[in-house]
Amino acid sequence: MTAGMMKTFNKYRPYVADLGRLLAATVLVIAIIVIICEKWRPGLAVAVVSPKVLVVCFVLGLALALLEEKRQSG
Amino acid sequence: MTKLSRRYVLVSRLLAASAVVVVVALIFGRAVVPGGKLVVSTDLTAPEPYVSQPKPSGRFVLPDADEVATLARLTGGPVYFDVTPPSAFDRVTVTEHHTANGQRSAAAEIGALSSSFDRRFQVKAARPLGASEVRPQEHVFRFTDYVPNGALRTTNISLRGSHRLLAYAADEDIFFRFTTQDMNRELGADPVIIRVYRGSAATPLIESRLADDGNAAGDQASSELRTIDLAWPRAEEDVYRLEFIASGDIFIRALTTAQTKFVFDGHLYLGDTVGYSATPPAISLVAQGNLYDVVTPHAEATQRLVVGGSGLDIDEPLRRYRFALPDAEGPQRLRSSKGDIEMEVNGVFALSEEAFFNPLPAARLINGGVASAVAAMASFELSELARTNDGAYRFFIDPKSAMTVERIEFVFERPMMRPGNIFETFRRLSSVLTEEVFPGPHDRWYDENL
Repeated sequence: MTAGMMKTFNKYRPYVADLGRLLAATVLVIAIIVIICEKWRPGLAVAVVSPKVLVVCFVLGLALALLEEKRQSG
Repeated sequence: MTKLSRRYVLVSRLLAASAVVVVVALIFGRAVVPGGKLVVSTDLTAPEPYVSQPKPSGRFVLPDADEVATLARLTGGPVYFDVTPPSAFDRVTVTEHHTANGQRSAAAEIGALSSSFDRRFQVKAARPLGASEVRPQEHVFRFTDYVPNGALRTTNISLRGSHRLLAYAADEDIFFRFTTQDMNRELGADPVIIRVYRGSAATPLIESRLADDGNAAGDQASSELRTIDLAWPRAEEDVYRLEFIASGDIFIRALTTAQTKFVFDGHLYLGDTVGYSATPPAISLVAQGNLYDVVTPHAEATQRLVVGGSGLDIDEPLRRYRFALPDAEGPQRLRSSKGDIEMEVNGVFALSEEAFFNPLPAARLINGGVASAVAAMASFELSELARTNDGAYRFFIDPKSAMTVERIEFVFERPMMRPGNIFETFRRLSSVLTEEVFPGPHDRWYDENL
């Protein structure tokens, strides 16, 4: 990776971390809605949002956010 | 930490909020069902939205992973399904497809739960696909020489849980007083609800409630005797349906009424006297019907039940005995030596000969006792069906012999959403959200003996 590329990457790193946090938080809110709907009528919400997609998005968001936090604290 | 641009913050938060709003809107749209038609389909092999897996599990076989066949097989019946649509509908059509010897044919019997507290199922005349359904004529019962009495009479009897009574009234006051006792054997509150309906109406004339005794524990500490009254003045001549809705913890210890003619519709649960009286009394009743299902919950109550000149030995607790009296006509004397027995009949029970009358149609279908017919589909008005404690509609399919299921479809219908009925459509969703679930008996629906 060239120095220029690294500079650009570092510039947008906080945005990536923020997007990760935002993604995790959004997915968490949606997951809560899905769980409530599924408790009420099984099958209603999972037909709209796949639980697998929710889990993948949550893990991705959390990973992005944590990696950035770790870098900053390190 | 680098400061994020305001534009980025605004756009990203808006996008996140939009994602949540879109998901909520999509789920809301699925719950509202604007098209007015909801098709719930299952081949039994995988979980499907809104419909439970069939029960009991001993009556069907799922295909093995390494098996060539991919369809489930019903090996016995009835097989029950719970279906919970997301909003209120008017009508449901249950269609069953199966393969038999390579040819497509139809199911044997299809039923739907019509009373949640005495496990009564409505069995529609099953018909092949495409045939028009013949609706039964309304049955009207009238005495020709009925004279109201009006005097209150009390009968001491121990009855357990929910019951449906049919009472005759002609320009007189309807009055029932139930003396109840909460035995607190099971955990949870045990309220009592009584409702009176005229004829086969779906909306009650009047309702009366008795709150729990304050002890929601399952500590077997029986409550004091408490009474709940129900009165309806100047009832026009007709048969009135009274529903006493309560859990199995509630025992009726005495029944006071002004009605001279009243019977129990198809179900009577003579309660035990544990915690109330030391000696279980012998009980004499009158019953009309020719197909009985009886079960006792306790080993101490094994007994010989005598109906007319026939006897049935009940040797085991919790085993459901079925016996038929094909030649029985008219009311029969029924004697239980110990009580503590739950009975169902395709007719009525009365506490005395004086109280006996039978307003039911001659051809009574109860608990799947329908004449043999070839069925492919059956339609039910949802207003005539009951729900389980979980708010589900319960259906059964009873194959006459083992069969391989292609799919089972539940098609719920109501008017499509239009500008003129938008609020009505939303009301149907809110009615499901706010509906009341009534206490029912202990859930023994899936007993292998049933």
